[in-house]
Amino acid sequence: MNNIYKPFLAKIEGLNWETPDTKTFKLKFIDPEVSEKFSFRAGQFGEYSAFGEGESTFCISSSPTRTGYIECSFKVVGKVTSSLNNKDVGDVIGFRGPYGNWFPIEDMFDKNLIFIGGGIGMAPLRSLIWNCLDLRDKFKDITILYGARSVGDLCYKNELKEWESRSDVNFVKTVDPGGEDKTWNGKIGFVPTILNEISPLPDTAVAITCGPPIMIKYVLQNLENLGFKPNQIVTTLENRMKCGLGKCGRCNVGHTYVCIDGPVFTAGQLAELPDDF
Amino acid sequence: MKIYKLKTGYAEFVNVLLRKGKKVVAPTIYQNTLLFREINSVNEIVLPENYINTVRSAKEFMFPITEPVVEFSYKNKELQLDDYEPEVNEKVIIGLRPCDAAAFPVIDDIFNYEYKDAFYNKRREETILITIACENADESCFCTSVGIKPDSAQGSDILLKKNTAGNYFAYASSEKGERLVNQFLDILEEIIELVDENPVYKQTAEKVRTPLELEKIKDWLDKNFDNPAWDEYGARCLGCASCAFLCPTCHCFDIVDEMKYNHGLRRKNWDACQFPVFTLHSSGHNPRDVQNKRYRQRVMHKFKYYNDRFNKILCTGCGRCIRACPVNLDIYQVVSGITQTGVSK
Repeated sequence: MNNIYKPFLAKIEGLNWETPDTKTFKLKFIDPEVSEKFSFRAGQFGEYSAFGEGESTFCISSSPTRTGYIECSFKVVGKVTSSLNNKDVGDVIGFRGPYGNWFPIEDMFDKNLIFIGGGIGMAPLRSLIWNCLDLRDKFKDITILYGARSVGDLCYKNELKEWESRSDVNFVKTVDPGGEDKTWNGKIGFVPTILNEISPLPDTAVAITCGPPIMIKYVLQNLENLGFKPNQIVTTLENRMKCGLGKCGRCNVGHTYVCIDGPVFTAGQLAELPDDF
Repeated sequence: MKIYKLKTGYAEFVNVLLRKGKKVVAPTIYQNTLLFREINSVNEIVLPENYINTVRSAKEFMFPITEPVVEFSYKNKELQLDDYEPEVNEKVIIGLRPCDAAAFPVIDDIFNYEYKDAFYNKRREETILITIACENADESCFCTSVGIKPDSAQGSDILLKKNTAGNYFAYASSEKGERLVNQFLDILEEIIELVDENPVYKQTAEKVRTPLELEKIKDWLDKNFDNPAWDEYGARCLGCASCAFLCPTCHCFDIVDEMKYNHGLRRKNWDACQFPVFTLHSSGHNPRDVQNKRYRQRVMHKFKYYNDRFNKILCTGCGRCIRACPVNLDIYQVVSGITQTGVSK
């Protein structure tokens, strides 16, 4: 029987504290056949299980170009994430997926890319950013704007340093006013404000954004004011999910199921959805 | 569709099913409630003349209230994942009404698009539905509004219906139904000529509520995601979800782990969009944070969203949600009312 609810088993190969409450796991599938056959696209997500506690939904935050493992980043908030948090390297968790659609990377070839991330919203963008950097020749300018509440809340700190030092990436980091510390050398201001400061040109460009809903709201507004057309702006939604398979009935926005029809939407598609997310 | 004359009465037919070793599920009285349950003797059944419909629909025999989907255990601290197979036996559900049978072709779609739910499908394949046409209706029935009649065969494997003289005829409306009939040819006799129409079915159809104007409702729902009407319904609705649990087409579920010592089961449990935690994010954000939005979701899902996706109405007019609602919120009145005034009477 093909059981769509049965997860693959995956071993935690490595872990990293991104912030005081956010962790990244590096996972390897135990079954070598699964490990070999598994493939996904940047933007897709999965259901991660802590057996005995339940399942949680996170995106795959590593790039599909890096094979043999996947990574996920999660904030410790509830029952499942607390239980995952108690796991250590070598422990086994469950994974179902990959589910949902993905970032239309082929449509981004030969274009300027502007990534705009906030807080843990960087996780899906990170998958796509590394995907693009691994195929660097296919894209024109790459700009990354990343902000968080405070310096401590910035995820992937080592990778941020790498992006900052690369000559083929224009990297801008910012923290909300009051979130800076003595050593901070980035911008101070909310992400939408800094976006206006950078003022990316809309010509042959695609903007990809993910972050807290309030940030996305103003980023979309500002991008449109900068001249970006709705189909030039791509974002990824999140809603509470259980099955990830379009059946359990909770992630819908109108007749659109975020798990099946999303999570990646253009601003144009978002505008068509009823205000129910 | 082949038609067979029953050489016996209804009760004796059930008796023969049991005698031939079939697992039979039929309406029985359990704790003062009329429910579908597996029976051991024909004495347990309630005859169709004595009920309009059961309290819960027959959906729980395909989509159980709770069912394990994954089994796991820790042996010497090593996690083991077992291949969980549900125990599914062939069974016959007899005595369900056309509105309950018609629900299955509707929810087949959700359990089979993109990903196939083998738990649902396995039960569906192993279950034979013998529907009994309705000779009576109550004030909550509205099947004719959603394309069903008191003697519809949609979703049934066999439909039992009387002729004018009061004899039962079996209409085998699927291959599964045909197969069952072939095992019972000693009590079923195939007939070629048409059976005369018993007028009682037409009379029943006239007893149920006036058909809804579905196109008008869909058109209104398409344009009125934001409408003060939803606030009024939200203020009345208690969010108890009785409607969703009794509904033959509501199919939302939760996935929950249960663990005892070092053995665990991951279960699929009935859930409902009327509960506040149903859509609550771990961040605290809730897209459907008030009852207005949750009630709107229910109506929209039934008459618009499901229709947009599968071209079907997620309702069979069984009337259970109307009978059970503690505050008399009546979905028929809601959808017929909104198209006229924006707010129900």
